[in-house]
Amino acid sequence: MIRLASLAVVLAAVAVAGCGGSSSSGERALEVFGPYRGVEADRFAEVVEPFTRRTGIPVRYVGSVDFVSDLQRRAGEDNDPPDLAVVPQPGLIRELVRDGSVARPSAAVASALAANYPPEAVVLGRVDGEVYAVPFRLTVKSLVWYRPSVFAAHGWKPPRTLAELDRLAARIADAGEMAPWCLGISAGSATGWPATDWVEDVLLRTAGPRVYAGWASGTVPFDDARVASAFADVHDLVLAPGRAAGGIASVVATSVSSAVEPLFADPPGCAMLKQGDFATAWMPDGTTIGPDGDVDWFLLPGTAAGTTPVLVGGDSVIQFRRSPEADALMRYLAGPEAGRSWVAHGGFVSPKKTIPPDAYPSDYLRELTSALGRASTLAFDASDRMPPAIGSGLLWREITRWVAGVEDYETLARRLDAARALSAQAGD
Amino acid sequence: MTHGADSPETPAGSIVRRIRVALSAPPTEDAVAAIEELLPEGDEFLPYFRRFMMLIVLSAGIAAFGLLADSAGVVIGAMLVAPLMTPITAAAAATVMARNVRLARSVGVITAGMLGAIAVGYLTALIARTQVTVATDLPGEVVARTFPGLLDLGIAVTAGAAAGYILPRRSTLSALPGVGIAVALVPPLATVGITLEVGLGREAANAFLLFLTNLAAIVFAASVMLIASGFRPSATGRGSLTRRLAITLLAVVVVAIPLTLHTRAVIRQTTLVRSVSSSVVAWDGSVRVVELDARVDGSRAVVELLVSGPDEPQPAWKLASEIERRWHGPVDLTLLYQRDSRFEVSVR
Repeated sequence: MIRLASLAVVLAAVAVAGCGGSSSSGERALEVFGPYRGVEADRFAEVVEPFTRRTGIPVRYVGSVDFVSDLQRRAGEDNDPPDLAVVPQPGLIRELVRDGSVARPSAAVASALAANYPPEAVVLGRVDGEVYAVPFRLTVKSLVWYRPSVFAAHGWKPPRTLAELDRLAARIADAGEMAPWCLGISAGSATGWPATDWVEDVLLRTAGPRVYAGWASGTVPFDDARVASAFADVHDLVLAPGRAAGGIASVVATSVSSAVEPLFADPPGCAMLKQGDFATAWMPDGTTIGPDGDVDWFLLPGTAAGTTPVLVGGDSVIQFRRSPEADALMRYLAGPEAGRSWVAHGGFVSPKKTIPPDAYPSDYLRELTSALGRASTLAFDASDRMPPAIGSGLLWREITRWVAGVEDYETLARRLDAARALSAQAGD
Repeated sequence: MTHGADSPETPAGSIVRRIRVALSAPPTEDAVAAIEELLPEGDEFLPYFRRFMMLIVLSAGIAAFGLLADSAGVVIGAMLVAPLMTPITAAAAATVMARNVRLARSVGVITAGMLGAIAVGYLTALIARTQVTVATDLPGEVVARTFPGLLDLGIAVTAGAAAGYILPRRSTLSALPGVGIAVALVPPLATVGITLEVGLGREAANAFLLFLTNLAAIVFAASVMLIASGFRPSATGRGSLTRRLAITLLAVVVVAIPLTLHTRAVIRQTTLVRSVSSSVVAWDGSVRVVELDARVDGSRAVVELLVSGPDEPQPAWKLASEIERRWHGPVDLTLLYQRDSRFEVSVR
């Protein structure tokens, strides 16, 4: 079981007022809409396959790169919501609950949550104290991937502080053999999200969890000097000339999943990639992870040695239509079994207490879950907690322009603070 | 009116008797001579073999250049020059008549012709300095010979039967070139040579499978037709006819197995392309497909589409769902709209 006590404090802020209720559909073929594509879509299909086998209820999974805008449109103007959706953004869940688009799951789901999840994780599924979602996946975002053989050949060592990391990046850039960083931020209408993760990780370290939480909730503006400083730090560490493989044009044009490729190229195009645990799905088949493996990881270090905050994200399942079939699938997803097959494949961390550490297939995943327990602070992805129009829309667009160098930080901050002010007036 | 001691013949019995009489009627002397001339013996063999190999080299050369130039007309010309049909039909006749020496000789001629045609295809591709490195760059005429299917087996069986019918009947010989066009023998062999030269082993194996299909089917079907024309084994070899036919039939069955798998793959691929096309129309009638690349990868459809249209398109997830519904399998869709908007959807 993963210790999530610190996370609970952060997540408590996620829960806001909401209302529920939706019509029942009664149709037998269920549609689940989500962000997983390719291999991850296969894994999700495997997760629900035992449900179909046992109940005879077919489940169609549809995963879109434009998941947020597609889901908003389906739940809103198109009035064509799926039966269920896997949503990585608590901010979007909150908005959909407020709109009355999300159905309250059956009482059996609440019982299953209590039985199979630690109390800290159940918070992920609540809006204003009421259960609306089944937490499905935890993602650990503060990982820096590197190839031990490449580091050893050059005498490089994983850094213990953020300042050491900056010195290491400078050393790699000066050597001129490869760029310090791999980075790709292209993802359809979600283009820009890896850049928000970078800023969040750095802000969490340089300004501390309190400022970070204020920035996520809107009390600390983008205009704040500490936020501006975090953006500047990310620029200096990752985006300055010579720091990212292929230069800024490549960063903007490269898809998030392809960003991993130069790390494994021969000769390597970059030395490090900061990306979540889910990046293993994009690595070459058969990649081994560990100190003696093809690739290893360290947590993005804190400002001082030994204090390492960890940024996490989480995907939760919500229900749009009440029907016996959809209720049964929600119950199954909240049950002890759902997720085990994905855990066994790797690249997936379950928030369930019924899936113990020894269910994970590798030392890497067992270490990862224990690192979560040791983290000095666990913070939930701030942009995912913001109202979707901001955190899953404007911020992605603006940060892409900022990364591309076509917009300065002052303009970005002004636009985002103005949008947040409008959103606050509208009662979001 | 009185009846004899024999019981009256039923209509079915009458038909069976007539067929039996027709089948047991020996072939005419002219028919036997025509079959004998297919593969000269004695002193006439070497001049025949030289002519045969010359025609193999010429027809394979024409076929190889026609294939590389992607010209169907030239490839058909090569089929008319190709001399392989005669030793193959001779092999069928030797099988039926249980003449083992003649069978071995015709197999030898076929093997020499086969190797010669492959070598000419290889050399032609070498001389033409073909720059092809991936299968998708091959000319259409070459690609068409690297996807043999069950239809090819059907063509070869009927064409082989036609050859078995025509060759013992000199009055019908004018129809023989049609058989040569219907069931190509040299172009697949030239394709084997070309694809080997550019290093595409899998395509070469498929083209060779097409040749083997045609060879086995012609021998089997021509044998059956020759039996129907009254050809029989000599008295000493009579007992082995069934076994010989069984062996040729077994050869047909053996090639039919990979052909069935190929055909299923081709049908799945064709169905996918059709499903994608009809899904696009159902999805958004206002868009135009600029490029469509759909392939089956295991059980999954990998579809890449470039479309253009007057307005914002419908959401890509709807198109992927539509394709999945029509194709009945998992879909990974990459949709490019007007070249600047990229959407990716997976449906399982």
